[in-house]
Amino acid sequence: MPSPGYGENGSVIGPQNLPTSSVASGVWSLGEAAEATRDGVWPFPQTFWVMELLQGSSPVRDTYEAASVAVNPFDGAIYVCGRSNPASGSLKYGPTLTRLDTDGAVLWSNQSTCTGTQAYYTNSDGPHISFLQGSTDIYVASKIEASGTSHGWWRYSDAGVYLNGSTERTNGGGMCSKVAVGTRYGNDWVESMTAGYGPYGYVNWAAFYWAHTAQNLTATGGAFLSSPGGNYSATQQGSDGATLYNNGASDGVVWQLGLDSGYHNLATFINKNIGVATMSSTTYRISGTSGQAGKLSTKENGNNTYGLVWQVYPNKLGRTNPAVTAPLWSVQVVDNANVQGNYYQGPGVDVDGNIYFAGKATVNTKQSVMIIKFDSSGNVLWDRSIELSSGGTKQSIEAFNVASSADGKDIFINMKANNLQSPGGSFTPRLVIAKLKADGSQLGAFTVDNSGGTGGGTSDVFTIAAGSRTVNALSVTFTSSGTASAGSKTGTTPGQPWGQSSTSNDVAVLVEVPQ
Amino acid sequence: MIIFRNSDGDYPRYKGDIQLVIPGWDFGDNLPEGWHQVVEVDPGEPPECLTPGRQNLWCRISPIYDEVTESWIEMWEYVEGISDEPPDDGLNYQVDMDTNTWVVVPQELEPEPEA
Repeated sequence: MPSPGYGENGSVIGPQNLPTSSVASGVWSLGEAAEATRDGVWPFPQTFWVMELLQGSSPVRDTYEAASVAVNPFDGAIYVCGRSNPASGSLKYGPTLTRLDTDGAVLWSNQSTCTGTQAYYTNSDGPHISFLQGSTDIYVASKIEASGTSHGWWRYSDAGVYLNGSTERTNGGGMCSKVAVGTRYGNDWVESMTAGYGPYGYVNWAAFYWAHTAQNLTATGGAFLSSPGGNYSATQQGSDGATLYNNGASDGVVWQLGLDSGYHNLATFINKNIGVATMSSTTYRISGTSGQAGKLSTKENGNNTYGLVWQVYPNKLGRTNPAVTAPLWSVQVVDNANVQGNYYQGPGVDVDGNIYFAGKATVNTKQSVMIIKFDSSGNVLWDRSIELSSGGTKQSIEAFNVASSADGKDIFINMKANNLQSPGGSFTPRLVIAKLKADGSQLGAFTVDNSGGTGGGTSDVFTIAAGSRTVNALSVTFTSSGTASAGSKTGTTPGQPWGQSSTSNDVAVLVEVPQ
Repeated sequence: MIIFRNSDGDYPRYKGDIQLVIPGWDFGDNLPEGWHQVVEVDPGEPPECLTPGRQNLWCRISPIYDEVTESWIEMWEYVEGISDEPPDDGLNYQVDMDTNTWVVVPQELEPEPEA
């Protein structure tokens, strides 16, 4: 917001402009706007906005669910990747990739053009975005179901133009797919991976890895983990973290969570060597973890000063050294007794190594978002809650992941509001992306008037307040568990890419919420 | 964990909250007027929870003021949460993420159907 004084000493020729921005947030007189334009501060950058991405109005579509929001640290470009249903045709729950500008406006939105078979993604295991250091290109990987279960990756330019990609079929039901890109083996090294049900049935595990370069899509093979702790079912998520490129013994780290034969929970990190179809023989189990869900993030600046950040359902967070041999610190978040179902997902790491731990808390069947910011040493910097009311009624909202802007000054929260009014008056889930200042300074109620142009939607009020959660130090150990074995690529290449870019009919509604 | 109480009595508050008042503030610097660092108290081990699949966890409540030491003292209560491991009774369990409880799985996981 411009500095005070407009309408008093800063007026242009003519009557004094009466300032309104300080009286009614976000309301400016034309005179104020003129003065701000003169001073180069209009249009002022939105320091807080909410972008609600709606489905097309005709026909009404299923929910657009965002699997991830990501920011390219090279150019600061903001991307949202998820799935949506075009409502007709053979495609179902196809991937959608959207680029936003820094004010939340949609620059372009692509929807899969897979045809003939279904493309299926779950929210938590859906498309994921990666970036090559120093490149504006976007790499998206996901599980797909196209003539069998497959996974693949697709490369787009920052203008949304499809460049190339590859898919591989798994013999089992791949649950998650990630693409990792790096420079270790050349400027366009790409490695895609998936995890989930392996080729030997759902009780025996694993991860597949295929390595490519953008110029040569020849797969190098796969590898799999041999059932640590007994039969191993990778029930959630899959692999991640192969953006960890360092100069140590470990080139990449993959994690997976799941259950052993006794339905005891496992959380395992796997060191692997990029570029070969084998993994090292060391895996780790995190003691005292419930497994079932979780994510892992890396500091993606190339040197991984801060190592890995892991999160395990429902409320545990920690950081490890890059070689993943020991925890550096671990914490457990505890809510008050009236919170029934709290859990966190997808820790995000910013350029300084700060960590954002986001999730949901349920009180009286209504969910609210909770975000805790830690520094790289595990100290809490701030704790915030976001509650939502729509049309005057409290509605549930939850967070899936947080991405930091390239400079670390803002964060983008990927949320899902479970009951907002949509075109036509029906109440449906809706993707909500919010941009907040990373210093935690935005507190209070922010009203989103989405009644215009959406067919009778209501006002949504996002209320941000300080949280009251307890963060306790947690003692965990890493225990070697199981071994990783070389595997071979199985299945075929179905050649089912995420086709050429096509403009989605989804309606993106930018809701500006000036302070 | 270093935690603060602000001049309005709000708790807990953290380093980042202080930095909104004093930019660049760091541990060891003077606190804003009316702010206090709450004295840490180790609550020890929480009482054993006798409910299968549950465990007691420590949760902070509002601190109390100790007139003798003229300081705010950390206070705790325990709340029941999901245990790290499922009940060890031979049954198969998974987590109900809406309620944070272990629930019995009637049969083994099924692989996802292919399209």
